[in-house]
Amino acid sequence: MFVGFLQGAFATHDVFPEQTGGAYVGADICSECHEDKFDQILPSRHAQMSDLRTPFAKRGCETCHGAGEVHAASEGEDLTGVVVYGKGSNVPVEKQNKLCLSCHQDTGRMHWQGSAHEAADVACTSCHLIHQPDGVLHKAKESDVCTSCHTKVRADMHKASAHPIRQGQITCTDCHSPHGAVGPKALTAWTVNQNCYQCHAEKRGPFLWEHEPVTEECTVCHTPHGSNNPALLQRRGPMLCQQCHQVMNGTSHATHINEKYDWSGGAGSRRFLVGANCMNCHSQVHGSNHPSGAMLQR
Amino acid sequence: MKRIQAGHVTLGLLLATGAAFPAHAEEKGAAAEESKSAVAEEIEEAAALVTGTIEYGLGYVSDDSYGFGRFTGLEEEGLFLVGGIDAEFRPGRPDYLHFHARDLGLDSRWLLFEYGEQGKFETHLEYNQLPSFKMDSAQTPYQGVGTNTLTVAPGASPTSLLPLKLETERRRVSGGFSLFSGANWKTSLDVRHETKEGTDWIGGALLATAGGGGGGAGGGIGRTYAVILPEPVDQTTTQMDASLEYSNKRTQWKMNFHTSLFNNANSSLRWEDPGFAVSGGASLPAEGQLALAPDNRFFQLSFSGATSITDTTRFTGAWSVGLMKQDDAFLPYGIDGSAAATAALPRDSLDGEVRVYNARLGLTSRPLKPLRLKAKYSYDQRDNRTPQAAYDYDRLDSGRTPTVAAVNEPLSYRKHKLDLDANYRFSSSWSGAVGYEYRNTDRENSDVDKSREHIGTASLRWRPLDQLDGVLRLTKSEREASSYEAELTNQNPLLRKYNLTDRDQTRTGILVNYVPVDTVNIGLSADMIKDEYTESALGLAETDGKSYNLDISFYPSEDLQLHAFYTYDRMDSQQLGSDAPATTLYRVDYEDRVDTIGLGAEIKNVWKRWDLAVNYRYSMGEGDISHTDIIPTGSPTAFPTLSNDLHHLELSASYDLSKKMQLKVAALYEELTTEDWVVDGVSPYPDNRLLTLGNDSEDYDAWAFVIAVRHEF
Repeated sequence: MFVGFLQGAFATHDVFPEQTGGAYVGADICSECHEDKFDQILPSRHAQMSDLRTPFAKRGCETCHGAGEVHAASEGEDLTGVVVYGKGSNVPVEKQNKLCLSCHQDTGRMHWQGSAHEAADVACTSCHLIHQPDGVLHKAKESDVCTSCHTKVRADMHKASAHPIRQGQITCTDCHSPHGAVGPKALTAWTVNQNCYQCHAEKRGPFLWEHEPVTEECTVCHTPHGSNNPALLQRRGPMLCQQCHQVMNGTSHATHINEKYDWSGGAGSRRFLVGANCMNCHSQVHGSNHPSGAMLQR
Repeated sequence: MKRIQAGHVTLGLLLATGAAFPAHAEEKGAAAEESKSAVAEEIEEAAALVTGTIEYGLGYVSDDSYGFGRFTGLEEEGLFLVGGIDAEFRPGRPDYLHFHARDLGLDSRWLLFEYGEQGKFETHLEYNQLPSFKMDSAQTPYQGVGTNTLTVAPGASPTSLLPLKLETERRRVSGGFSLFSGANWKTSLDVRHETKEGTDWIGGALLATAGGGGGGAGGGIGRTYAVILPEPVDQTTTQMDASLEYSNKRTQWKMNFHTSLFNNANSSLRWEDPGFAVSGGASLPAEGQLALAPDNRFFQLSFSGATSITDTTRFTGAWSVGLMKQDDAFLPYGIDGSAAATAALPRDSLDGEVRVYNARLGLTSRPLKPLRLKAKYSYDQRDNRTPQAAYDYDRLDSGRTPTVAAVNEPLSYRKHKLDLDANYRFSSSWSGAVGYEYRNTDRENSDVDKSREHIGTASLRWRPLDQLDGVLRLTKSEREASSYEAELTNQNPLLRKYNLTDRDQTRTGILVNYVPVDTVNIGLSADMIKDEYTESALGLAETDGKSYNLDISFYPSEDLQLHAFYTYDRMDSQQLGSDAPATTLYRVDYEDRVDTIGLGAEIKNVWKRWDLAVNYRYSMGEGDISHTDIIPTGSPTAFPTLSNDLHHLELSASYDLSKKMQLKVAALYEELTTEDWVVDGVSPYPDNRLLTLGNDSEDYDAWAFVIAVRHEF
């Protein structure tokens, strides 16, 4: 069995689409019945015959859909050798994608194999339109496509605090690569923090006085897609801060760090709840470069 | 064209041009011979066309509201211009030139030029503006807003404040080119320069000489007086990526050099005591000074590549080395002229340096047709080489130093991750997957030096019918911290920081997609995640998240599309705290829940000439926080419920005036109602030791209307 595995791992599979539908008949024949599809694809990048990489510079429609002689001879009845893409496809997703990758397996998609979308059997045509202008490439439409599956993100981006995704000012692909990437969660940068620093470079430092969750990962305190709390925080202060800051009673600052800041507390404790709560004084939570900023107050 | 966008379908989109791409063909591939004839003629005919749209018109916003126009520039009542262009043409074969512009009449405008020759070279030049209207009802006693020196305005005090608006704006210019050499090589250069200007907020504190209570030896929380200050924002970030890429059918690789240069025009913020009513005969420093974000530089060289060893086995590898540098001149310890303030610094600047290393290795294979295997390894290192020194700091510009100097502790880590997955298709209707992931992290200057995590995943996919697809996924993980030794000497030894300590995590996901008839699609999903911090006697003890979603789409015809969705999202957490005296213990229960509803319809060719669309979103968010004494036992005390109710409605209609001209009208309505105990009923000066911005909770309702004409050419 192990030998079989090895043989399989080093196997060379057939070229796709296999030429099982007779001879190639040319796009003119296709256009006689599929005029609407033909008209749609003509102005697209796929139909640029001057670019030798495009399907139309090779075998026209049959580059992707397979040889059409049998299909044409049967006046469309016989689908032998013809590949249909997208909803109602007559071939597995993997094979559909393989055809696309035969041209698009460039550096932008070199991490596709093993990516989350590949593992979930997402077809290229689940997101992309091949014949028509491709909506997912349109900045303002992209998030519609992504959130049709990532429904929690759709809810998140309507929360009180959110990145301007629903306003169309940033897109999912500003941070993520749906075709796979070196970063976690298909982030285009290597790490979460390197990703965030692309727009929030002021947080990069290094600072004289560092705050460990900041250097560790921004998501320790923040949630990226939307939150009920200001500044995309996981929770509100001072409770958020108290999840990691409790000191020995009787030691310096114990009373104000450990205190139970409930709403029934007196006016004296309200100053730790309102305004910016802990950040009223410890405003430099992302790090301080002030020689007197050891407590992140300068 | 005007783009006003929110939700999934936007006014801008409803006004948007259908981007038609012109095309032409001059040279033909050798393999195209058999399919050229009529096709080539049609393509050449298309090439003669210059296509595109231009839209112009007027819009009107019904009310002033920073919330309504936060990121779009629709913050001000009144008229605005609607303008946009989508032009795609080729001035000469085989070149192309694209020009797109949106929101020309607003502060969120965007322009893009693209010029190139498909398969040979590409260039682009882009301009993007992004406003952020943060707060329009803030107050401050200061003059000099927007500068790094704030002085109390004549007649102003904590009880007599001036109006203040907080807003920032980003402006980004980016450009670049790519050259294709043959079919395999690509060389690119991209440069992005962004400015961010405006006013934000930041807290500043001063320490009184005496008075107040608490704090213990050397403490002084009772003597600390804080004010939320208007922070000047004048920053630039320049980023550049230069890359060389190679691709063929089997092997691809990319080498990239990334540069990021951040510059802050304001290295400090100085402010006066706003006139706090200091009690007990104490006095405050006349001024305080904060350090603002220092300039920094980042350089990263990376290489990533992949090769298909065979058609069924693929290897990927990637590596990067980066350097973060920061060497802004230090500010003095203080600014009051005292010995503490003017003491010699151990260094003039930090000379901060962090080396960043990342590596990835991956192998995917399909040894049998139904079997997919994946192995991935990743390595991330943050090696902080910043020099350490002892700093005898000046406490909040009071002229007092601590009894023990503070030594900076540069933070470093190494993270290893190994991920193994196998996916097997049992039949056309059943498939399953199992996975194992191992994480190992080493840290320096942290409470936890080492942690390990084991994660197991299993999933099952069932597709009994072409119309029905279901996925069940289970994930279980255990994270173990090798030891827990607090870096801070006074940290309660019972506390465990949740991102470092032991954790058991269970995650369950269910996904069902059903297409009862071709025109109807029903999607159901559920995602549950539970974290238990098993060693945390204090700190975050448990979180429990649930998210359920139902989506229904109905497409009875090409001219009618309807959709609806509902999402329930909830995150509960429990944390434990110990109040003084040491024998007390309390629990905090935190509940966040958001219900989101969406309804939409799109109807085309109504009375032959009308296209209509409506989209509605409702997001109802609530947050409850309560405290309960455990030792001694007590009754829960709850905060007022936090709530955010957002109604968002989009209406649009397009009327065909002629074959190439449409009249478009659109409306956007948004209403936000917020209840927030942080600001509701809270005066700007709620305590004689805190001066806030005194802003109101964010409530607004406003309309934006657009009428525009769209020409196709």
